[in-house]
Formats: sequence, structure tokens, C-alpha cells
Amino acid sequence: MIIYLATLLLSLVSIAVTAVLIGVLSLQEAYAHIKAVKRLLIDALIAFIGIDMVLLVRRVSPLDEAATIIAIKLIYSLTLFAAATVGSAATVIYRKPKSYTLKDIYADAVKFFPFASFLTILLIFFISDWIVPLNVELRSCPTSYTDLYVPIFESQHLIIFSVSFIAFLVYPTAVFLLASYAVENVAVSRDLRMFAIGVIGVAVSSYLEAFFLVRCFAEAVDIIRIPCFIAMTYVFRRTTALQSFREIELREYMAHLRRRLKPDFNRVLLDAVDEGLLALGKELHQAVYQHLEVRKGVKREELPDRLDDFSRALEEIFGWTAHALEEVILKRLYARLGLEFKEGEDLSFKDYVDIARKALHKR
Amino acid sequence: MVSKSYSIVAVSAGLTALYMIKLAGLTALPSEVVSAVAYITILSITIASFHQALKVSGWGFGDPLKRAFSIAVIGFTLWFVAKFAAAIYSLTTGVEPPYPSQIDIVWSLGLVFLILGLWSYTGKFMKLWRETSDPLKHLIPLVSLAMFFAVTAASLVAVNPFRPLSVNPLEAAMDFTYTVLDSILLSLAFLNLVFFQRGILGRMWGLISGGVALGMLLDLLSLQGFIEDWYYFGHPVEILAIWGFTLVALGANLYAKTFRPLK
Repeated sequence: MIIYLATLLLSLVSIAVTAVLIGVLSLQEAYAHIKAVKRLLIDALIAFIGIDMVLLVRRVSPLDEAATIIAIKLIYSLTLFAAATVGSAATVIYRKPKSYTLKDIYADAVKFFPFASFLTILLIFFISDWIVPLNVELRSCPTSYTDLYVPIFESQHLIIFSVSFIAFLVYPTAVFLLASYAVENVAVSRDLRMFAIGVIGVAVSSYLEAFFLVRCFAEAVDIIRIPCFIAMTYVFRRTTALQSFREIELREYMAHLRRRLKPDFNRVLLDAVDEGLLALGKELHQAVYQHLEVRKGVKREELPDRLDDFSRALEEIFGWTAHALEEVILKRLYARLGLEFKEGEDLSFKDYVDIARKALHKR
Repeated sequence: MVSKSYSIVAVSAGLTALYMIKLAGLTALPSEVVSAVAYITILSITIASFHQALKVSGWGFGDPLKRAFSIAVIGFTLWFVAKFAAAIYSLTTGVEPPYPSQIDIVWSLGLVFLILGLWSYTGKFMKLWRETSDPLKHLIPLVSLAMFFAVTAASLVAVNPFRPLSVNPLEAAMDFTYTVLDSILLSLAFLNLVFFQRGILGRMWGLISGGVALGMLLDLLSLQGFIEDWYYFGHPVEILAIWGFTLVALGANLYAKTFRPLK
């Protein structure tokens, strides 16, 4: 009884949450090719609502043998459709078409050979899904009041599932990751990687769903899927929010103004250090200052005069990644001062800061 | 007062001794009980250590470090729940839980959370690396992908999850899922071990990644063992996982100790 109600509740919650996410996405203002991405993501969510609806119907009103076979094939087809839409969304983001008419967006995506291959694989599996025969057996399930027909998976089904799972997992994830490495904006890059992680969750849940159908508990995979959907919707909203673009523009303008006015070097250095450390998050930013104060007796304000201690502290905390962090801080410092950062041989962090200081005094 | 790190190592040594005593036939305890006691104890210690780290960093998902710890603690808690549920099932029914079962969903969900946890921290450093002018930075995504494919291919060859395909296709599918998820986590742990070698954070994250890598090696070994019928709950090879979790707990403990807020 409890398991039955829990399964039912999970299905209903999943449908409700997915519907709310569709609403949230629909209301999101998007522009250019992001509009197409938005529509594709909504299509994917609709497909997953379709899957949940089929499972719900099967649960509350058990289907006969033939209807169960069709339902299972339909679930697999909807999963393939979702894979195609997510893959398309990833491709559109990666290709960034120059013209934003829908015709051009999709034409450009289809020209992308890996995407065409991905769609071909999905199409082959879609056809196989309806051609390859499937048997079902009646089973008494703890998650249902009445007996349910469950699928009997043969090796050919498992091979089809596994290969389509790998396609679903690898293609959109790889393209989102490629897009994240191609994009220059750090925040957007992070969001695209979050999307890739979301896709992994959705692909894994879809693969597990097929097999948990046999155990009469396919709804359980919503526990993985729903958090992924929520995260993806949140990330999409954040990335496309007009406000964030305005903030970026404002930040660039402020940086431009700072470059034009002659700044106080120590203050600019401290700001650059803060900005560089914040690239790793607030917690590590605070941890570095705490370590400096406790272990080296250096307060934040004293840092411009004790750069060697700062360098050593970074090395003690971060190991060899400290050099990457130093370079990021130096790049921010040079950018704030309107100078060009050129890497030299055998120069320490302090040497680079001294070069910047001298260059500023010469102005 | 004995430091927490020494206590954690002492408990792990005790659990290792328990396996050895069982192996020598000096106790009548069933091997499933030895396994359940060992896993539940060490996972409790790991969760407690992460709780200490979370008390320092704070719980949340906005900051990469907070996110890494928060997601990891959820992952370890899910593993704890799965092990606990399996132990209760075995004790009440006298037989091992069916495979696959709902317990496997919880366990694989734990795996997904740990993948996300490890990635949220590693990804931040990878992004930092991309901002530098290091010529090797372009190799990082390639190395990551190559590592993943190499580890997955090696795991699939070693485990061969499709061997029981004709006998029990469902089991084969679950074995395949586990092999892929384990391989993702294992390759991520290897990547972290390459990235984080020195420094306090390097040691901390190296310990956590090393521990996760040991745990995943045991997971893959146990999958192969189940298929080849040499593995059973309480097999001495589980010591790998016990010490894996110990390393993870030591890593979290190191962070909590080093970055404890000033009074």
C-alpha cells in the first residue's frame, strides 16, 4: 500500500514539477538562437511528461498485453525524441548560427556531421524499436494493486538500449562541454558545463528506467531526473537573464573608466587579488586570507608590501596550481591598469607586480 | 587527546583486523555481518568528517567548495542509506537483497552525486587553468576525455558486464550501468590526483580523490567477482574500500582542521 502510494505520488509530483518547469521556460525571455534552444528544451520536457503519463496510466489502470507492448515502445520512442531535442539544443548553442531564422539555425545544425550521425543513430533505433518484437509477462508487483505486464528483455533489446544510452550520454554532453570551452564568458562557460552534467543525469535515468520497468518501479528514476531538470531550467534562466548581460556590460564599462583614470596602485592590486581569488569561490578566497594572517602574520592591507609571503602562502595552499592562480591575478591587475600582460622567463609574481608599478609611474 | 585523524586510522585498522579474523576463521560471525559492520562504521565516520568540513565551509550550492562538500556528503549519505537498508534486509530475511533492486537506485544515485561533487571542484580549477597562457591548457579537455575513455574501456574489458547477458539480462544491464558510472568517477578521481598533488588543498583533495579511486576499484573488482563467482559480501578485498573511505574521511578532516575559523 505504502509503496503503491509512494510510486503514485512520485509520478504525480514528477508531472507537476515538469509542467511547472515548462511554464517557467516558456515565460523566460530569450533572443536569437537561444529561442530555438528554449523551444527544444520545452519539447524534451514535454516528452518526459508523456513518459510519466504513460507510466501513470499503466499504474492506475493496468494495460493488457498488446497495450503494454505499445506503451513500452512509446516510452522508448519518447526517450529517443528527448535525446534528439537535447542533442539539437547542444548543437545550436555550439554552432551559434549567424542568421537567427529558424530555417538557418536548423540547416546549420544539420550541416554539423556529428549531429547528423547522432540523429541517424537515433532514427535507426526508433525504427528498430517498432520492428524488433517485444514480449511481456504478467507479474505480481509490490507497487501495484493488480498484476502488471512487464517487458522481457532479450539481448537485442539490451544492445539497442545500451547503444542508444551511450549516444544520448556522449553526444549532447560532449557538445555542451565543447561549447563551454569555446565560449569566452566565464559565467556562460560554467553554465554550459552544468548543462552537460544535467544531460548525464537525464541520460542515466532514462537508461535505468527501461530496466526498472521490469521491477515495476520505473517511476523511481524521477528521483534522479527531476533534480536534473530543475538544475537545467535554473541554469538556462540564469544564462539568458537580460540582467546578467547588463551587469557584464556595466562591469566592462567600469573597467574602461578605471583604465582612463590614474588609479591607486595598491588598491588596484588588492582588487585584482580579490578578483583572482574569487574565481575559485568565496570560501577559498577567505581561506587564503585566513592562512596568510594566521601562518604568515600578513593582513590583507599589508599584502602589496609582502608579495613574497603571499606567493609562498598560495603555494602552500594550492601547490602547483598556485602558478595558474598567480597568472590569473596578474592578468586582472594588468587589465585593470590598461597594460598588456606579457609572460617573461624566470620572473616571480613580485617581479611582474613591480613591472606594472613602474609602468604606471611612467605614465 | 588523540587527534581525530589517528582515531579514524585506528578504527580502520580495527575493521581491517576484523576481516583478517574472519579470514582466519577465528570468529563465527557471518561474512555479510562483517561487511555490513565495516561499511556502516566507516561510512558513518566519513559522513561525520564531511559534516565537520561543512561546519567550516558552510552548507550551500553557490560556492564551488561548499557545493563540492555538500554534494559529496549527500552522495556518501545515500551510500550509507543503501548499505544500511541492505544490512536490515539481510538480517530480517536471512538472504541478500535481490539484484538489481531499489537499493541499487539509491547506490547509483550516490555515485551520480559524488561525480557531481568531484566535478564541481575540479571544474573550477580547470576553468582557472584555461585563463592562463600555459600552452598545455588546451590539452586538459583532451586528457580528461582520453582518461575517461581509457578507464571505461579498461573497466568494460576487465569486468565484461555483458557476460551474464543470456542468463540474466537485467543483471547485465545493471552491471553495465555500474561499470560506466564507476569509470566516470574513477577517471575523475585520477584526473584530480594528477591536478592536486601539493599544497594543503592539494593534499586534502588528493586524499579524497585517492579514497574515491580505491572505492571505485573495489566496486569494479566486486562487479567482476560477482560475475565470476569469487566475490561475496565480507570478502577481504573490501579492505580496499574501507581504506578508501578512510582516506576520504582524512581529507575532509584535514580541511576542517586547517581552515577552522579563528576564535
